Amino acid sequence: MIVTMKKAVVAFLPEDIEKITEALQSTGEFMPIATETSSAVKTVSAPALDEEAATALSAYGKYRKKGGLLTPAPEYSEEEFKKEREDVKKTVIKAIELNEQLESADNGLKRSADELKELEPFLSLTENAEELSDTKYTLVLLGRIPYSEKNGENPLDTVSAEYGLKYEAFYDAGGMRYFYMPVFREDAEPVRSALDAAGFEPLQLPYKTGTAKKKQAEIKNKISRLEFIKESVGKELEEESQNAESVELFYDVEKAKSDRNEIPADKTESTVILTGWVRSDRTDKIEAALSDASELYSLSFEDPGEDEQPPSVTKDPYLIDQCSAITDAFSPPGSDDIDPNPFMGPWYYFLFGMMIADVGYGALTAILMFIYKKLKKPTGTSGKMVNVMLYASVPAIFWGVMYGSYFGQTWNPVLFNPLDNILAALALSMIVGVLHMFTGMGIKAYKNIRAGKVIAAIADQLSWMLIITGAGLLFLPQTRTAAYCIAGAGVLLLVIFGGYAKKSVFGKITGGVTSLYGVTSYVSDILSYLRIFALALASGLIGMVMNTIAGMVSGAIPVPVLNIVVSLPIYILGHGINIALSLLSAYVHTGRLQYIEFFGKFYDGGGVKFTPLERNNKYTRIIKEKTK
Amino acid sequence: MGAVYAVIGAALAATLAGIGSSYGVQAAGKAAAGVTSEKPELFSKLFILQLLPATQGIYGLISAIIILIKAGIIGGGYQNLTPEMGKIYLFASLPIALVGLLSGIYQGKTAAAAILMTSKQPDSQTKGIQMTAVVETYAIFALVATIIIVLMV
Repeated sequence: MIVTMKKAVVAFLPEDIEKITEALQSTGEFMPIATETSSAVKTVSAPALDEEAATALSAYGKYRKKGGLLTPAPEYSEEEFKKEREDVKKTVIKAIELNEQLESADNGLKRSADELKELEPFLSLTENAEELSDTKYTLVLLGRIPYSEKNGENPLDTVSAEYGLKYEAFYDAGGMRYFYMPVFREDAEPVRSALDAAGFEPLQLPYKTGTAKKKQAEIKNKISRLEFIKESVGKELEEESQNAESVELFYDVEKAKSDRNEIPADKTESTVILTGWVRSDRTDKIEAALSDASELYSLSFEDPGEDEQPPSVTKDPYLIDQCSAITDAFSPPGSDDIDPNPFMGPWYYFLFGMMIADVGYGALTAILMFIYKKLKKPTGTSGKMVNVMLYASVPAIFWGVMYGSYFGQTWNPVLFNPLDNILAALALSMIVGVLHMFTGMGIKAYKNIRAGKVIAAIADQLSWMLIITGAGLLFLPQTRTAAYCIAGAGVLLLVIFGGYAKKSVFGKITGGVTSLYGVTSYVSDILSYLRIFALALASGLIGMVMNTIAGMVSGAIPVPVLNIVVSLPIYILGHGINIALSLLSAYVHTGRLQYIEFFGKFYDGGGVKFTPLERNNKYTRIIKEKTK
Repeated sequence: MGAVYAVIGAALAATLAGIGSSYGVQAAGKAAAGVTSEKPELFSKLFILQLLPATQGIYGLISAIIILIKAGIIGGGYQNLTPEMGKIYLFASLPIALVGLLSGIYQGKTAAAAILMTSKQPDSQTKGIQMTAVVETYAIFALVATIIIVLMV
């Protein structure tokens, strides 16, 4: 059922702004609407420090000892959440400072490493930098030149012989020779151009005084100092990271603040007006929260206007509501659409179970999901997904019993073993698929009739349902005559009414005949359900293979206890991987069948998600106290 | 002699579909690693997408094992396999071997695109999963074809 929405308008005094917005946020029932005249109001006196807290937490990062993956978020009461925390602000600032020190030490280390690398070619130079500088009469050509022996000749030697100059080579790397060559200033030009012609690249000494060795020692000294600083800052951060939990709480508090700062509102000198969507069945929560927060306010509820699209919320029984996460991932229903969840939910569980179809896997999934739920206490979308898998384990066990599949081993199938009876298994998948599609088409027919389009319901849904039913019954010899009648009636209806949407008489006639081409899309839809069979088969077969491998290993070891010890990890690992893959495949492919084959028949979606102003706590959970 | 054909078929199914999957998983994995370096918090969402092209290799392995079982190489009796039956198993392996190879590669590319989409809009991961999963449909059909041939003959 789709809940009707009301538009709430709250007016109050500017000085109450902090209290009122906080009260609305803590209910999580008010979705602010931006109007043409509204702007973001400043609702908090002090700036929100959520980004700073996030920086502090990332600085603690690797230094903090984290609880395991399954540790639930810590719980706080409403009062604890609202308390001001000056001391935590200081902690956050300190963490940011330490982080900056750490970053500058890291940058220094990186720079030093670059310098060391740059120094490497000059390490064997014994001359001081001063000795290699130019003088009044001489120049020192320093650089590198491509170096290769050709007939005992190389460019450097050629130049030096030609001009009668001596050079000192000190380093070879990557086919280049590093050297220096003192020349008289008046000779410099021809020597230089001769060297340039051979590919000479001049270099600067990366130091001004002394030798490269001396410079290297200086840099190494600097590195050890920076490393010491890094280590001691790291230690300090590690100590500070004990405060991580209170900083996490601080982050959530500040994030809530900064979210409140984004609320659009109309503001005059004496009043602030907030407009927002509220579920019509929960208006009392808003009233209660506001009356707790302030005495001077006005609150009114209006019905949505003609041209407005309110967000949509669905209200369904618990089991079906868990599947709403899957519908919302496709698209939430439009506010005047019908709620697809009561139809989609049962089918989701059913198809999901049919794709797993193993008693052992179903039971293990149930146990794992139950433990995960108890320990981690997931909420929101992930909580719903965990619930979907938890409850889908029931149909998975049911289909496991039907197929007689127990951890991949076959034992007393109630219906049949799909491996022995492939045709039956294929037929079953397609029959289930047809029923699934008929559910969707039935809903569309209902929607058409409700909208007064009876002909559309006959042409688009009824005719095809008759044709598909007839085509299916053709396979049974006993029902063949009836099958022809049913399918024939369907084709007749389709040909007569198929062109109903066309304007001209000619179009109406040809439209009926051409709509018969729709058969291709129905055939491909039905075949698409073969994946149910394929996935059940795949998970069963992989389980069987794992059993075979582990059995072979166990059989190869003649020692009674040892064979179990060795083969047990193979069983556990093999089935563990198989369960994980089966769950992923079942989730993906059930989703696909729902989105394309099922929703494609009747569901438009296109609604707006209800995203109320609420505390999106990342690290903490708040326990609502009982009413005093 | 028949067993030789059957083994070639089983090897083709496991090898080609396995190559397809490994290519697909690495293409998606490279994209996922790039995104994770910038946004480590998206890892679990991206990992699911990276895993999607892994199924072709599994389908190939299943087909190989079913062929080996039916041919009597697992469980014994392969000496009696006629060359005709062996050839049937060889050809039966082709749907999953070839479709597995190509659809694994293509699915990996789609998964990489979906990963990049998720990096820009983390909420659209589900849509990315669906787009990527559609590619796998044909590998599933190929698996069905292979298994039907092997088991019905």
